[in-house]
Amino acid sequence: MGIMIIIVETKKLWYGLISSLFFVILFNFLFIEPRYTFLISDKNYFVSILIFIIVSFIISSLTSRLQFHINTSLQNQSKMEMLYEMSNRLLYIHSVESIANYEMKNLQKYLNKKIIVFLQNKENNQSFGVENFINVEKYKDEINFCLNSSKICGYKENDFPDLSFKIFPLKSNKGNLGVLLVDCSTGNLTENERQFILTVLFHMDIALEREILSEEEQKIVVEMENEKFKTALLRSISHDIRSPLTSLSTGSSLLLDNFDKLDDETKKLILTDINTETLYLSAFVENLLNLTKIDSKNFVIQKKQEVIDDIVSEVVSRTSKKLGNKTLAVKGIEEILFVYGDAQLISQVLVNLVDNAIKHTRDNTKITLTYYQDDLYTWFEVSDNGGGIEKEKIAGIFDGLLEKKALNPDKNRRSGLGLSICKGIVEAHSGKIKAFNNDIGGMTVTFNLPLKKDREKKNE
Amino acid sequence: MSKIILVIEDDKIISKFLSVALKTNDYQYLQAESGIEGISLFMANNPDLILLDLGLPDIDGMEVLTQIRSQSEVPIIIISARGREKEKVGALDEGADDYLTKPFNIGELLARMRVALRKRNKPFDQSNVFAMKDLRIDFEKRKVFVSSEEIHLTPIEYKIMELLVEFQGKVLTHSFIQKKIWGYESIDDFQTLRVFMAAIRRKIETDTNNPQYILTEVGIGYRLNEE
Repeated sequence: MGIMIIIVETKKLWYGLISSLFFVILFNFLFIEPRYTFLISDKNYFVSILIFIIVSFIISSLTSRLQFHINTSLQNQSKMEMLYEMSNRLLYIHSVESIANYEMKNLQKYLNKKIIVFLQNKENNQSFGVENFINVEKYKDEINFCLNSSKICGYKENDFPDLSFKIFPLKSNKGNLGVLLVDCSTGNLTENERQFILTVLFHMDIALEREILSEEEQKIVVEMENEKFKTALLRSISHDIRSPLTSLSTGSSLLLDNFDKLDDETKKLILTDINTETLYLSAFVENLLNLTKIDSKNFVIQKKQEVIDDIVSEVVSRTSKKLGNKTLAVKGIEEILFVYGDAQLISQVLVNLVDNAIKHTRDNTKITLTYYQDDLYTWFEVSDNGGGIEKEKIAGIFDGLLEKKALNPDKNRRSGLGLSICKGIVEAHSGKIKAFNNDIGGMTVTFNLPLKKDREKKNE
Repeated sequence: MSKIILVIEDDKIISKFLSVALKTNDYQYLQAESGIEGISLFMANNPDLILLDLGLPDIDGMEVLTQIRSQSEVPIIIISARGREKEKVGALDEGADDYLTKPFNIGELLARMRVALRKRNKPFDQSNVFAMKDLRIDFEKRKVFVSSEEIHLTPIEYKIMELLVEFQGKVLTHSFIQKKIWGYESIDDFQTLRVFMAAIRRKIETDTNNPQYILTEVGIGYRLNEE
């Protein structure tokens, strides 16, 4: 009995064996004649002591084996629980990055070893790890070998046994996803741990594959939108370029053919028109260039912290010549504020909005440019009191390209491009833009741009 | 004697217009249609100013710029259809005096040319008093006045003002100002510089949204106004 208690308590086979010997000797000492010596007088006692010893050995080994089984099943249970929890959580995690991060942290906790999840795709490579114990880029060859052979490589494996870490391949049936690196400088993995990692990887493969598929699907949707936009754009461009070009060519040929017949006044008039048209065209080209800037896939918007003053003063100087009898006032804040984005693009948005307000309003309209900031956004607002716009048109005002089809294109010289570009630029900055009729008898267009996040600040 | 202007431009129509504009404004006019020709004309004629197109048929305009700059301080104004800020900044940092993007108007070009030419004639004199509109800077006493009222500038703000005056009319890139004032590269995207510029503006401009003195070249740098 005593032996069983000891084994259960100490959980070690050796303790059990030693204590059983001890008990036998103690029994001999206390109860067997002659008492209080280790001598044994009766031969029968020898036999019984031998039996004692054997019995206690058997008991102790049985108990300890039982104990071992309990332990493993406990371990298995916690492993299963963890796996269950992980796969459950994975269902709610979206984006490849968070999946990789989540798995990495869990494995790290469970194995108590440093882990890096390294994801590869066509565009870029990303690694996730609490600390990067190695520079992954240096081990490209090993990683590629591991992926191509689908074998575990690295520390004490068949391939690259000299490395201090193990490489586990991450694959889906669509191709290679990346690898998982386990730092083994603190010791090798047990067979159990290895199995566990493989199970986790299997889960991860499925989750990642799911994510990648849904991301691809989204990309296709976006691309389709882009295609539609481009077609509409081309249609509108050809109109918007053709009409000023027509005035240019008729105007200049008129001058050329009738140079001696026309009086100076008329010549000057024609030249002024030509000049206006060229200015219009060059502004148009500027807009187009900016459009390609936000539209091309490879172009990432160069966001910087820009002083709002700089942008606003640029807008004022670029629009002031076109004002005529209208006025532009700026309402800002005395403080030096920063807006996070591409200065040229943001000023293009404001220039387009102000231009629009100049072109499509009554005489003597007052235009106001306002800006302010709250905790999340920088807000810009361009409003006028010059007549407003019909309610039905407001909804589609930023899809000017589409609106155009409905109207008689020859009647309407206005380019729908300007506002669509505004929308494109604002959305490329993850902001929002909207237009409405204000209560001072005109239209207001307002848009916001998110402030630079603290997280991004820290990364720099 | 009229000034000699070398135009390195391969577009025939543009150079024709330029030649008319330059002749009517009393400049002597030399024309090169390629980079190599441009460099050799520069060597032979020692022009007073060079108008350089970056998109040339034989060698890159930037190459022409560096070659000429390595031998001479002659004012160079870049005329280019490449409108990207990066290229402008690149050209200015390589030593170009100014940058005009096509399409530009002739009036603007002539104004920039006058600035560049005057710079060459009149070296900056630190002991002078600088005056422009309501702004007055007394370099000897290190004092700045707006409408004869003294304005207090911090030492760095004053240094920036000094630099802007020294290169009045010329676009100074962010990195140029950064190096001249702080002596090291910016680690925060010139954010500090921008704040300083905004602060100076608040002190000397009456309307910061429509500045009279310090003009911003978005994405490139700053310029002290001419007139």
